[in-house]
Amino acid sequence: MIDRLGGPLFVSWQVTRACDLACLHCCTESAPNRRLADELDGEEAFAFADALIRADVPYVMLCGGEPLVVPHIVAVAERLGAAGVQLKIETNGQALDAATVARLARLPIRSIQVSLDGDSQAVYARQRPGADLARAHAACRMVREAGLPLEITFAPTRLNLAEAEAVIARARALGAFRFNTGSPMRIGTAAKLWGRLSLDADALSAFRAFLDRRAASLGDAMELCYLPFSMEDGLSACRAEPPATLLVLPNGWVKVAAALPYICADVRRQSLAEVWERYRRAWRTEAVSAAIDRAIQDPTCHADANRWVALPDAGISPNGGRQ
Amino acid sequence: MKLAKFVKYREEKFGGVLFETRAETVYTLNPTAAAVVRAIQAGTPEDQIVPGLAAAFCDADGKLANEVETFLAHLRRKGLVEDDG
Repeated sequence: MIDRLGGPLFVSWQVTRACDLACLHCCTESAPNRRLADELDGEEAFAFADALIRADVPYVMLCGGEPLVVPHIVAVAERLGAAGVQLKIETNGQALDAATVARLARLPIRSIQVSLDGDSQAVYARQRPGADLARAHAACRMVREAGLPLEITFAPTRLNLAEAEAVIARARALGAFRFNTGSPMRIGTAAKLWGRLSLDADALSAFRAFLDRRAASLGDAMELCYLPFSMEDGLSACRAEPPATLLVLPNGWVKVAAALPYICADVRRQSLAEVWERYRRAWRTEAVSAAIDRAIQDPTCHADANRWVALPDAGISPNGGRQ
Repeated sequence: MKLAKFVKYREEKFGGVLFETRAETVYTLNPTAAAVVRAIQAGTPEDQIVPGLAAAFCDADGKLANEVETFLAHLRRKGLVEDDG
């Protein structure tokens, strides 16, 4: 499929590694003061947004870190939205205010995704230290009252699994159209804290069975999205059919896949057409194929996914960026 | 008739793609189907789509009208288009 397409259909753009929270399960190791030294600045972000518009990319996700801590992010969303690009914004909901929601409500928003990793303040804050569950719920209500589509995401861990059912019920009550979850992801901060967070095989199996039952009972009321269930299943699916998706890191580097360490291009140095061509070539390399094999056979390999490694074809010098 | 709210179309060398972003589902279109979608985007009334396409596509076997009708029904069934209103 990707070899037939003239450009990406979806861009997942991590606009910063900084976050107002330091969640135990974070895939991107985000936290306050974790902004990369070489992140795209406002001018570069607008230039990249313009490149996405010129390439007729239909759908862009703005994520992080926490995208709302980036001062220019709503203006970037407005630039994309004014050109008809559909937008998804991932947020923890802590900093979402009425003024921001009002600006977003004028855009072609496909969804606002809010993370709810617990249904009681105690459990939620155990996984998201310092976070306020009532504020996250208020953010969800503001989104719905503005007529925007709401998605909820739930990252299961040993700390919050007991509240999964309650969070699903909460998401439905808040008017979410979709609920995203799956097997815990052993990547980033979660990999470092795996001993505290991981679920054993029996708990995972029970969670999967619960989701199967719940999906059947929910019907059309809310989509329960949990497949592929594990990162290994996701990688297998990607190898069979690489997604028409660019994962852009805060410094403009382009990652082949979230679960792999490989960088295949740099939006600062290359046009979007060149980036797309390098992305397509990356999926044909032995390095990527072997990394997928290793990650499927040994999920501990996911822990290396944030130790970025530039592929020889990426056009990045050894000192071209910083982690 | 118009594309549904969460549906985006992009032209490609092989024809085009329809991307239903809500379900994140991609549909690939051959040149004829892509021309139908372009006509919908241009606001062409449904009964004018076939005459418009007949000029651009060879319709020696006279199957074009039937194929377009089937395709439009498919788009409706999948929720990819909605009627103006």
